[in-house]
Amino acid sequence: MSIRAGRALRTAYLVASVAGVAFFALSVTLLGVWPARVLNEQTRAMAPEHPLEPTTSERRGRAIYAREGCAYCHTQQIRYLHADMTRFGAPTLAWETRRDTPHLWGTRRIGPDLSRAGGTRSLDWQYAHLFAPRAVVSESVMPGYPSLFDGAPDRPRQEARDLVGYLDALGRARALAGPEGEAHAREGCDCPDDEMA
Amino acid sequence: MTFGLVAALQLVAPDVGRDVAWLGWGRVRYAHTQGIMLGWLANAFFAFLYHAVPILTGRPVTSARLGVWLFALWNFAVMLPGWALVLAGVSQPLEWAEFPLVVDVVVVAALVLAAIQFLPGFFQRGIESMYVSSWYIIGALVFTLLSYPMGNLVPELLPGAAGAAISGLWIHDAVGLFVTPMALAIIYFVIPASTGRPVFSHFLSMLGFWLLFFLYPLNGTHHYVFSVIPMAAQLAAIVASTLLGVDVLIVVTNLFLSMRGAGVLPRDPALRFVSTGTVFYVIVSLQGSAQAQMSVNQAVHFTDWVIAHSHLAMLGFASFAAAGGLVHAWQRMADAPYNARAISWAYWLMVTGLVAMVVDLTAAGLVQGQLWTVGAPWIDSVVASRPYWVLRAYVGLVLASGFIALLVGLTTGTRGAGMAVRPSRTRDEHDVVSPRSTPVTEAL
Repeated sequence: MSIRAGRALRTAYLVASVAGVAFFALSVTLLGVWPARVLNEQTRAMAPEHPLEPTTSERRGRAIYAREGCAYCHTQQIRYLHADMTRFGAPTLAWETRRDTPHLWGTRRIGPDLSRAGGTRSLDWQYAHLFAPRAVVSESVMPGYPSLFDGAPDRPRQEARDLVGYLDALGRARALAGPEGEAHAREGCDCPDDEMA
Repeated sequence: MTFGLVAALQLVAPDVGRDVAWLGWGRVRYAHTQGIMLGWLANAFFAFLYHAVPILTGRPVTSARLGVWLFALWNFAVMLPGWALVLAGVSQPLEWAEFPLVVDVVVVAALVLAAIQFLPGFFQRGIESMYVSSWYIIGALVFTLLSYPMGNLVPELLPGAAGAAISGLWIHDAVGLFVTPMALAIIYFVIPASTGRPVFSHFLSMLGFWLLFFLYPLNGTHHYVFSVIPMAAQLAAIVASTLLGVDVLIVVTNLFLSMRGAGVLPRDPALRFVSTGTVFYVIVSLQGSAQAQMSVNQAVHFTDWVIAHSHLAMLGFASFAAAGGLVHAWQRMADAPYNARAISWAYWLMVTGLVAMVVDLTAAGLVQGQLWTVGAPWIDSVVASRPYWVLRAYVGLVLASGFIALLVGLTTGTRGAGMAVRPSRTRDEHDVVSPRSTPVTEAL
């Protein structure tokens, strides 16, 4: 290799190295920072003015949900897809998870999506199901969480109460937004009608 | 591995461990992913670097003492406390980032030590004569130092969709900027060292390297297609995912041409592992490009298809490369135990277990996706999955016994026996990958 060729190659590699780091920065900007800004604007435009905030118990319930890895079988993310929307309800909007740090979107569904789980089952059902899932749904593969109870489904500990409270609050803010909230969201959403179905 | 087996078993027999909180499926699943990536792969990669870096740079690694520190930190301050904390319920609900922040701090410190240990030698000779494996090693260590803190810390600060967008990036950077470059560094190292011939084209190898580092970071958002994350970001990630498939074709064309003449099942077990790993790499990458497309994504996302994909990547491509790298290094150490029969068993058990698992879970994913699309009751998809999950637990056992056989192969047997079985060549690895061979410049 001639000295000139070596120098050219070295320059090329240095340029490429800088470009490599720049591409990483680009990826974070394009796919992380910029979407965050868009989502913030969307949240400002579409969120109800006074959404009901989660209670302390519900926040604790959320931490238990995170700790036990519930998100690895249950997503909290309804996509803009016919199959998702007919089964679970309206697609998840940015403002609905704006208090979720860290997020619990999930990437796998062994059980159903839980974004709109609140109010779909009675609290008794939730306790019985959490204590022994197969006593309620015989084909279920969900693990039971008897350690959250004092030996029986009707004797939940505080942890079980927190968790069930959290589950029952999922989707509440969206539901409480009601027709007015949906109209407000529709107004703020720069999207074709079918996307909000 | 063990955690994976327990998790697989629990899907079949959900009441196993039901009274033991730390054996809950979710917690075991957290321990499983971190164990495969940081416990098995990272340890294997570091071990291989101790063999490869002195040859690639022509000088020893920075310090033996630092090596002891790195080993101790990684295993006794990352893995053991990480697992213990996750099982005890102190964790982050973030994929590939399940260890809590206190452990993440140690990981970053250890990665800095690894950079100090392995990287300085590469810059002594001038970068123009560096072999492609060296580039991959530098890339992996430098970019993981950037992406690891991003993926582990930022979602703790950014809520909801914005945090998920960053998580999506990290899920892919963990595979693309740490595991893939390290595995490719091994494959590019073992092939010429085993065949005694330089790689087919140094130009193609460098082209593949740079394209990988340009494209991989832009992939992550394809985990959230059809979500509220801006469609432009989703589309950018889908385009990058497609281009990445093209890049992988460039890389594997070069790799296969470098292996020509070695046969489908090379006799050298190290080469056999990496060549099979390369086959898995093509399949998993083209599959990745395909499933990022919207039409495919809506049919298979959230199903076991994706689980099959990630096992093909981490246990197929990456683990076969890592196993090949370890076997290769063991063949060159006079005081290393080497059990050729166990290593041969390891190969066949791992291939059988992995292929069966991937086929099984892919089929399960298609069934689940179909049942969801046609609007069947949810529980139908669970009932339909059962036979696939039973089979998965069995083949998981085969795969795990392959890993045990590998462990046996590298820890029992006569010391130095590997030296006898390594392919005898007129040219040794020093001649084909060290700076003396100044490989890339042949193109000029």
